[in-house]
Amino acid sequence: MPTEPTAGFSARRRWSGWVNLFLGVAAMLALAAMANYLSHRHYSRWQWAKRLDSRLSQLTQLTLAEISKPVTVVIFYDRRESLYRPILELLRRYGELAPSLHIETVDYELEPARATQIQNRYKLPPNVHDLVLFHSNERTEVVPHSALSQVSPTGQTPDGRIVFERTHFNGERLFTSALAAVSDTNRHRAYFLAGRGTHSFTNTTSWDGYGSLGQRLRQMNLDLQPATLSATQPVPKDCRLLIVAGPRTELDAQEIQRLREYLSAGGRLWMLFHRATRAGLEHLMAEQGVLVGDDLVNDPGNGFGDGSIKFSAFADPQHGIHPAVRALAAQDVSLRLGAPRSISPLPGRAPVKCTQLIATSAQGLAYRQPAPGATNAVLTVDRRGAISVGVAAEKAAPGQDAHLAPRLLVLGDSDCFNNTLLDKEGNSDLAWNMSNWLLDRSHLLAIGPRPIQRHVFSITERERWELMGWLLGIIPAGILAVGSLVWLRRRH
Amino acid sequence: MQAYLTLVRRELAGHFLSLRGYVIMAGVQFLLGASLCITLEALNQKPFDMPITEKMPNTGFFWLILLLVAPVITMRTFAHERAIGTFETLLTTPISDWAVVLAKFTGALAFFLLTWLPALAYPFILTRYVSGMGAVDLGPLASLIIGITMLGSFMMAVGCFASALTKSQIIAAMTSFAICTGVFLLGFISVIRPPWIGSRSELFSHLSMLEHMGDFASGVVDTRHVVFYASLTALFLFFTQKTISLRRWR
Repeated sequence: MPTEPTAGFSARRRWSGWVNLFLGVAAMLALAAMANYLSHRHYSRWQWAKRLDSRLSQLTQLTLAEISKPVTVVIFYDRRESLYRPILELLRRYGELAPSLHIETVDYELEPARATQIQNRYKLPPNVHDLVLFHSNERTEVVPHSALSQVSPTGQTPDGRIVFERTHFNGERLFTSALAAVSDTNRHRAYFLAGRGTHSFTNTTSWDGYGSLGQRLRQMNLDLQPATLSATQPVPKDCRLLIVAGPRTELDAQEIQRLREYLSAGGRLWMLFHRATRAGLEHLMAEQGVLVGDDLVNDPGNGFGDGSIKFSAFADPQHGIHPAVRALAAQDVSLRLGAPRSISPLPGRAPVKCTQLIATSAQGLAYRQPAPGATNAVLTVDRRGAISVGVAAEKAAPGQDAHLAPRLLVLGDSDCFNNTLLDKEGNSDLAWNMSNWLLDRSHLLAIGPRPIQRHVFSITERERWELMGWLLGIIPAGILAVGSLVWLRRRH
Repeated sequence: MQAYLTLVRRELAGHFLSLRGYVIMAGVQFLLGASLCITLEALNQKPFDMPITEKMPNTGFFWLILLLVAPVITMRTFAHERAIGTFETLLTTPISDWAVVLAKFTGALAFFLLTWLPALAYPFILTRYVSGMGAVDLGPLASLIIGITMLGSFMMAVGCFASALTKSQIIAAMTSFAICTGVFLLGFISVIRPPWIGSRSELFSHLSMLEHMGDFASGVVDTRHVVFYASLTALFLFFTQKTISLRRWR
């Protein structure tokens, strides 16, 4: 009996079609998953934005190449913060060169649970936000948001307040330093002279404290300890750097002798003078080839209006630009000091190599200090011109290893590194460079800050309405008008 | 190839010879204009240090355009043909299913990109009001265009697939909107779920459209994002082709 012809495909054909479909879909899904998996493992990133230029210095590349143990980097940031993207891209570049770097991003606004977990894991205070954290070898280094950029005054508000803006990004320098700190198990010890009215390295709250500078020095892998000097207490033997931060009373003969011994043994001294006193150290400084002026320096055309003055890196006529201020000079970054003393090289003190670091503009003035106890004394001008307020001195004996030679950095102002002024202009950079030069970490001096480009939209009320008229009215209405014409033409 | 180009032209003509295409374009321009006005309002007289392109994806209008416009453009690609009965005629022509699918997809994508075209002038208009060089950095602008094209391709492919599933344009638009919004929201899972460390966190970060667009908008072109959108586009075009060929033997 003949079978009746069917209208569709046979059951077998249909089944084979479904199987074919199922296998095709499964294969395609597998291919898509595989492509994504492989692309995730082997990827490239191209940065086309000028501000994200994350070419790393050769020294950072060397530091990254030496990292062997895993390092966790946590970017604990609000993603809307404008520095977030440059930080992320820079650290991703680090990650590409050092596979042992594990980078995590946590937006504390969007991910409160993860933020709490990170805060607990690394023992961060609950109110601390916007930071980059490096962890390895049971050690944690935190780079705070405030240290990542430099600010400079760019104008004034109508009520006379100075407006500060970010001018430079310090990311590479701080990240490389933090990486070196967590991966280097040898921590160097630095001491600061305690007492004698010096600035406190533990005080982070009052304006004249040095707590912020202390934190920065610890980020540089330094173990910072107080030191007291006396007949029985010399400078500790493990001291790689001694900081005398603005003593307001005179040091006694025993203390000065201890400093002299320390310097003759190849010590590294960072001397910051307070405007009120030379602390009895002028003779010791003279022995090292440094003249500490009994004066106060001003630069009338470069004042900030709050008593502080703008200074610049100075090219010494004899030795050129010193490494401690080279990056600042290259980026044309200014410095902000209080009213400093003049500090200059004493001529004819070979074999001391004394280099001027910082000076006023050519319109600088040095006023003679009034006699102690004098009231209503008239300040008399002692000198005019570009007046040096900072000097670096090196005393290398012939044939002596440069690493063992004593080094001395003298600055005529101690207020520039206090909690208030440390982050102003290039002051933190100066502190960074000075300490690295004293510690003979010259490689870190080469990583300079990167300029941040700022823009300002300035649209008047009339221009705003004009722009809105175009964007929300004329352009959409124009398109609709063209559409209506086309429609009408096709209709008739 | 000739048949493919003819079909692409037919698709584009479908948009430009009807009022509907112009209404979509005007709507997109209005929303983009609103997005720019909001960005300018937020930035006016305040110094900022990121390119304007980086700010654009932060406004809700930007995502509204991407998520809403794609279903509206693609809802008619196959559903309309099936509703008016021209689909069967198209399938009987000596053109492969793939040529039909690719032509519909190319037409939709080209129209989608054309709706964004006037926005290219925005950065240059803005240079008139900005002080400080470099507010309009061409690098991020180029990468943003790549990002919008990649995301647009994926959404057009989803729209074509949704349109191939049904006769109803409304159902097609809703299906496409649901899939695109679903993928968009997947990126938020790592945020609303308890903290995940490791591969799961990486997976959801890999799926996050916000992160992809954040990279593109700030001038970063990452091969992972390109592969993600290219693979999803290929996947949904494959689904579309299978849906069409299913009609032949089902």
